[in-house]
Parts: sequence; structure tokens; C-alpha cells
Amino acid sequence: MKGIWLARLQNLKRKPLVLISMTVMTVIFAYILSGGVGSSLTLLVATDNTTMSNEVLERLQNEDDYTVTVLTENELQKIIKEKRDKIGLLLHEKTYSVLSDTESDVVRMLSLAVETMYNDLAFHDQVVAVAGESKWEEVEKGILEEPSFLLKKDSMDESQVFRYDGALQSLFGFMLYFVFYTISINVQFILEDKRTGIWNRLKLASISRFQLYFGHLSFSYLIGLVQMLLVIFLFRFIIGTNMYGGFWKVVVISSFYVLLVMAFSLFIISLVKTVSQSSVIISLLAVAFAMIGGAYWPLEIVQSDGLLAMKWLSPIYYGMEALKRVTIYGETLVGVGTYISMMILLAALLIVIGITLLEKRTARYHSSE
Amino acid sequence: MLQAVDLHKKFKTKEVVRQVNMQLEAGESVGLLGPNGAGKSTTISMLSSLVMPTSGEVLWNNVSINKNPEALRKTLGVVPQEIALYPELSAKENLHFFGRIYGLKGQLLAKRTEETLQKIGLSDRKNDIVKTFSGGMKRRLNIGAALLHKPSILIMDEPTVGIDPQSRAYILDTVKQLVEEGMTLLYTSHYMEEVELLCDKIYIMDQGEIIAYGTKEQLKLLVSDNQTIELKAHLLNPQFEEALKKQLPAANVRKEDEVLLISVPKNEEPLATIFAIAAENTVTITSAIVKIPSLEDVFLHLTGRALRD
Repeated sequence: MKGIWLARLQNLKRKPLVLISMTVMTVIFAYILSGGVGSSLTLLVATDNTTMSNEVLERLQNEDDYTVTVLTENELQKIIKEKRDKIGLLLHEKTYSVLSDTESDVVRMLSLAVETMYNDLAFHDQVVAVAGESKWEEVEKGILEEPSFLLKKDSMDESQVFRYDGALQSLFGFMLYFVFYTISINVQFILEDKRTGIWNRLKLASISRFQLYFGHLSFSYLIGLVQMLLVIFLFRFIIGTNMYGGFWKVVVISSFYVLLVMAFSLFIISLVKTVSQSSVIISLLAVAFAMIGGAYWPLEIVQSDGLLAMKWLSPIYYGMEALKRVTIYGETLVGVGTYISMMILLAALLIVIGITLLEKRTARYHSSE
Repeated sequence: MLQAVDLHKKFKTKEVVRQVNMQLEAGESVGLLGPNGAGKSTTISMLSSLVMPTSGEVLWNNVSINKNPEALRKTLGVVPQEIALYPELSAKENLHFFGRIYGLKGQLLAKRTEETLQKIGLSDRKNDIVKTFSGGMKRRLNIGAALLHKPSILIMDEPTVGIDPQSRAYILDTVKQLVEEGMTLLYTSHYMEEVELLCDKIYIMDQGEIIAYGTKEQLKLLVSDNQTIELKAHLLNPQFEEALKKQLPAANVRKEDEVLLISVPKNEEPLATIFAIAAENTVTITSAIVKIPSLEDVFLHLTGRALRD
């Protein structure tokens, strides 16, 4: 197995283009489509100078997700009329207005966030008015210890409240999509080794089938994982993408996703005869899976029942959902256990089927003379 | 030493090898001759323990390898028909890789790699990437990769396919040298001249079966009663061929490129008849050579087809 790893490493050293290009493309696509550094939303805000509206403004200014520019109400109305791509927010004592030309997910998320701030502040004011500041501290402590978080879920049903983070959607989507190619291209080495006769040479050197498959698959797995980790670390620690405290959970889920894609690639190469056939199938499937799995856009905006029903076929769906839930929705790893279990089960099943079919195909190579 | 006993191999409903019996003694060089699709590669895959026979068995020192292939594999080198090398690695890196999987390490691996590179004549190109090599150089390295662990028996599957004459001559010289050093060789090819040059004993295979075996001399005795006339002529036409077949019923007539090969019993004097038929069909004969039998003639005699048909 060590020999296989060394040969694969030397091959990688000579041909690093796939790993580099897929990593770079993930970074470029995710960075551009998420809107750049920090991916914060630029907001134009005007208040009526009441205590409540100023407190909401202060909270908005303290959020990493927003870059706030404060204007007067007249200035705000004027800019919004002139520049239709801007989003404005008019804060009053008890109400607020979002000024936008479009009804997008971003606007809905902003409304939800502002409304939550108003509710929190009103709740705080009520507690202080009735029982004083000391009681509020007690209540706040209680909330922190046992948060009654709105989005706690145990099921895989995303029909509940929809939360959207454009930066993470782009990052996870393109990361899962591009790593599909990296892993598949690496797993194709098995097919190539079988075709060229290297596989038989290794068998004649008394390398067991387990060692052969394990050597190739473990290498492909690690290359895929390295690519994912590079991207995750880069976005978290260099670009500064907010992962809602779910960084390590993202790493763990990525490791299961890589396993599933590796198994899926093995399954694909077991169905074809040549590397070029496998490349064509993988290219088509990767795009299709990205679409139905929610890599390009959140599935919550998809209206077609047919497309939504097909999401279960896509490995990307399991990875995408699990990643979004441990970050945007603040789920624990246990909370996304269903997705993780599906990834492990599917991986195991596809590995068994893939190896069985590949072994049958090996026998057929000898019948081709 | 290495023995095939009643080997059969079936893929689905197609029986590609039927009742093959073969034997290789230590130090012997044995040829397996047959056209493409004869079942040679499947036979050597079974002999080298890569493919399990549907029935029959392979014995190594009288012990079946079907259940225990390890003893044979340690002493076996196989040169596959394909270029089983990593094209992105250098010649030296490829040899290191194959040496390592046979358990060679450190100085021993380095020494064996150098020796092998010298043997196959690639010492000066050892650090070059394989994909930049010519077909002949790749074939030589393909052989080298099977020699690193110093096998006592070498199985070569068409090692000279698709290369230039110079490289082919180099490879044949290398193999000849290995045989002279005492290597046991099983050499498969559809080039009879290679088998004739390298092998003491020859098995002829066609359509999955061994149709003849023996030494070169023994095999040629099969057609010693025949003579082959190689005819070159202007305006060879099908009527002439048909007339030859009709008037020389004992002859086997076939055309290769622009040469007509007529195999007839030795006791016949066909030249006068052939010239007469040529005149009748307005064919001008430019040369006529009466040839002694070759393995090609043996194959033709046994199957009625040319080896490269």
C-alpha cells in the first residue's frame, strides 16, 4: 500500500493541475458569487431618532453580516429611488420598513433579523419596566444557558423556517461541486491501472485486492479531503467567512461527504470500460447533482416537486444540507445525524457494489482477446 | 516444473480456452504461437495465476497454484502485452515502484534498478519521463519491470508488438541473453520468426486449442512432405488462382500482398503446370522460389489459414 501511495504522490507531483485548478476554481467561484470579503450586506439606514430605532441601528452596526451607512430619511428615499440595487431600512419607534425593489431571500432574511431585534428589545424593555434591570440580568442568563432557539430541528424536513446565507451557500455549493471532480479523477486511477496492466502486475507481486483498493481509495479520499480543508480554512481564517461557530462541524461533515463521493466515483468507474467514458458520465452527473442537490441555489426556492423529489439521488444534497444546518441553523452533529448516516450507508453500499462490478469487469478484460 | 493440465476457460457462454495441456521444464524456452484471438493471453493469465481456470489446473513443482499461487508468484516475472508503466514517472521511478512492491529496499533496490536499466539499455535515459519514450523504449522498460526481483521463470506476452525493427532486434537479443543465462521462458507471439529464434519447444494454438506441439524440427516434419512455391507475377488475377486450385487439387493456394504462395506435396512437379496455367490466363510470372517449410507453413498446413489472417 505504501508503494501505491508513493507512486500516486509522484504522479500528483508531476500532474498537480487537477488538484490546484479545482481548489482555485472553488475559491474563485465561491468568493465572487458570495459577494466578496466577509460577504456582508450593505445597508442604507435612516432612523426617526427614537430610543428603540437607535438601539436597533446599534445592533445592526455590531452585526458582522451588515455594513451600515446611516442617512437621513430624505437622503435614503432619494438614493433608493435612483439606485434600484440598494437596500434601505427605515427604522421607527415601533415599526420598520425595508426599502427594496425586489422581494428576494436577502430582503426576507433582513426583515426577519430586524423583527427579531425589535422583539428582543421590546422584551428587554418590558422585563426592565416590570421587575428592574437586575431581573433582566437573571432572565438573560437563563436564555444563554438554555436558548429556546427558533430553528431547532430533529427531522430532515426543510419546510420549516428558511434561513439563507449567500456566502455559505456559494462556499459549500462550489466546494462540494468541484471536489466531486477531484475525487472522481483520482478514483479513475483504478480503472487506468486495470487497463494498462499495472493492476495485474501488483497482483502478481502478491499485493492483496484489499491493499490495492484500499491504497487507491484512501489516497483519493485524502486528496479530496485536503482540497476541502484548504478551502474551508482559507474562507474561515483568511477571508473571514462567518460559519456561525460550526467550523469543526463543517470539517467533520466534509470528511463524510468525501467518503460518499469517493464511493460514488468507484461505483461509476465500475459501470464503464474506459477513463474517457467515466469522465463524461462524471461531468454530466456532477452538474446534475449540483442542481438537484442545492449546490447552485438553495432548494427552498425550488418550486418543482419533481426536482425536489430527485434531491435524494444527489450526494451533494446530503453534504449541502448537513453543512447548512450545522452553520446557518446552528444544529449539532447529532442533529444532522440522519444526513451523516445516509452518507455513510450509501458510501458502504456503493463501495461494495463498485468493487464487485469492477472485479467482474477484470475477468472480462481477459476475455477481450 | 510449470504444468497446465486440461485447462478450460469460459467467459459467459464463450469457451476461449479448451483442454490446454502444456509443460515448461527449468531452463527451457517455450513458445506459444497462434494468431490474434487464439486464446494465448487467457492461457498465460491462467498459467501466471491471474485468472482462475473454469476447469483443469496449473501445477508449479507438482503443487496446484489454483489455491496457493504465492509460491509461483515469488519466482515469476510477467511481461504483459500492454505497457504496464506509469507514463508520468521516470524509468528509474517506475522500476523503484515495481521493485518496492516486490519488497526490495534501500541499496538492494538501487543496485537491482541499475542492473536492470543496464540490461535493457536505458541507463542513460533513466531519469527521463516514460511518456517521452519511443514505443521500443517503453517495451524495454516493460520487460525490465518484470526482471527486478530476479524471477526464475519469465512469461512474455507479445513483447514486440508495434515497435520498430531496431527495438525489436534489441529486445530479441535481450531475451536470448536471458535464455542463455538459464531463465525459463514462455514466449507468446504471432510472429513465428521470433518464436523460431528464441524457443526450443513450441505450442501452436488456434481457436482456444493446442493444435500441435514439439520442437521446431518436429513441427516442421509435419509439413516435410510439402514444398511452398512463392510466385511473383504481373497481372495476378482471380481466374489464375481458381485455375491453380482446380488443376492442382492437392495444393494449398493463398495470396499475401502481391505474392502467391502455393503449398504442394514434395513429390509433385508443379512448376510446368503453373507456368502453363499462367500462360492460359495471360499472367506473366516474374519469379518463382521453391521454399523449405517454416512454422508459417506448419500453421497453414494445420489450420488452412495464415498465421496473421
